[in-house]
Amino acid sequence: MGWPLFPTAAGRLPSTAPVTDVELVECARRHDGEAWAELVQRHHVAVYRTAYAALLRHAEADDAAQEAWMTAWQRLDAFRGDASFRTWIVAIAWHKALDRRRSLAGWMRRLAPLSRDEHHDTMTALVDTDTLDAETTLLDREARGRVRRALRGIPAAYRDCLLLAAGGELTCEDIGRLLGMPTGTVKWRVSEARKRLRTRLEGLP
Amino acid sequence: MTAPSDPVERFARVTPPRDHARRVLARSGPAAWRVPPEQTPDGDAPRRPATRRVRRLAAAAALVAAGLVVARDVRLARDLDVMPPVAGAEWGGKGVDVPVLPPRAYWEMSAIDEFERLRPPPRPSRQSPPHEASAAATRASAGVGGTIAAWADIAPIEIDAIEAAPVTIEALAVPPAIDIAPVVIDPVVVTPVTEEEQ
Repeated sequence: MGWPLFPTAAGRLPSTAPVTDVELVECARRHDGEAWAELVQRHHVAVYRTAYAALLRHAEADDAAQEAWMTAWQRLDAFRGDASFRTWIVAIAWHKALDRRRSLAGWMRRLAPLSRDEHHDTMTALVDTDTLDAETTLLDREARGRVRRALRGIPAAYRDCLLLAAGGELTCEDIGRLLGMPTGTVKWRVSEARKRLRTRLEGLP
Repeated sequence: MTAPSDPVERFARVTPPRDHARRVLARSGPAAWRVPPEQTPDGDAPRRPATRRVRRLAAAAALVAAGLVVARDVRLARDLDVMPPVAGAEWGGKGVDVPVLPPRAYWEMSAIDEFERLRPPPRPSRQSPPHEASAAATRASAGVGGTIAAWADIAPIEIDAIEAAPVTIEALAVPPAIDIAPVVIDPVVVTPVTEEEQ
């Protein structure tokens, strides 16, 4: 009779890495909660960063990402698999974010102070750098504030390309498909946005 | 995890809140509608869109009602400030200073009677003696009285006739000729830009 060596140790979870997104979608359509959770876990960062690229505010990006996931779940049967699930959910998030950006309520919310975003930036800096150095955190927060102010002065057509590319989750081809423009145009706009951003950053105090 | 060195990448590569994925799963997926709101692990209860809409409408209605109540109170307070005190109103109570009110007769008097009582009596019309100057002017304008006799004693003034003299205008001399001297302009020399000017 063989006893396990550590009977109280937690069991190893089965690996889901080899399972493709298409298979997970098929399982989620059959109301498999774990498959849907795996899809969310795989792509929630890309969805969040895409929404943040359009809105530049954590609170609104959070709401837009939530709405995107809810819409994706409700219309999961409409996913045909022509593109990857990542492209599909990112496109939904992008359009949700654009709807919020164009709405009057979103415009009013952007007039509000950025205290919550600054607090989020501070906490993110603490988590990212794994340091509790207050001076470093403050400097990082100020740098993010300068970049945010400079980005707001760039036209949205250039800023969107730049932030989507800088997010690290999408390739230029993905961004081109998302925005409906050739890849070369995306690359040129990223370059142009960087030039304008550099100019604006030099002009800021 | 190391942060990227590029400030734009550091700005764009934001980290979602730690409970973001859990809140997504609480609001979407097959488990969202089966789990009662009280049993969600993170306490952020999944809300159906209809429920959220009702909550938002209720919040908006409560806000409008509160605004109406505040506006009514403000208007009532404003009306109380401009409202005159009622005649014979009783003030008092412990700890409240009784204001000094005008006498009761003030509130019961008639404005018309007071006007009639305080109005000065009309003066009797009487003929004032005419002034000397005004009387003389009146007589002069009418051409009557002894004014003409008084002016008749003044001798007439003799005025010589005005003789017209000839006006002689001398011709102007011929103006001197204007000599225009040639303007000398120094040649423009273009020198290379120095380092200081650069």
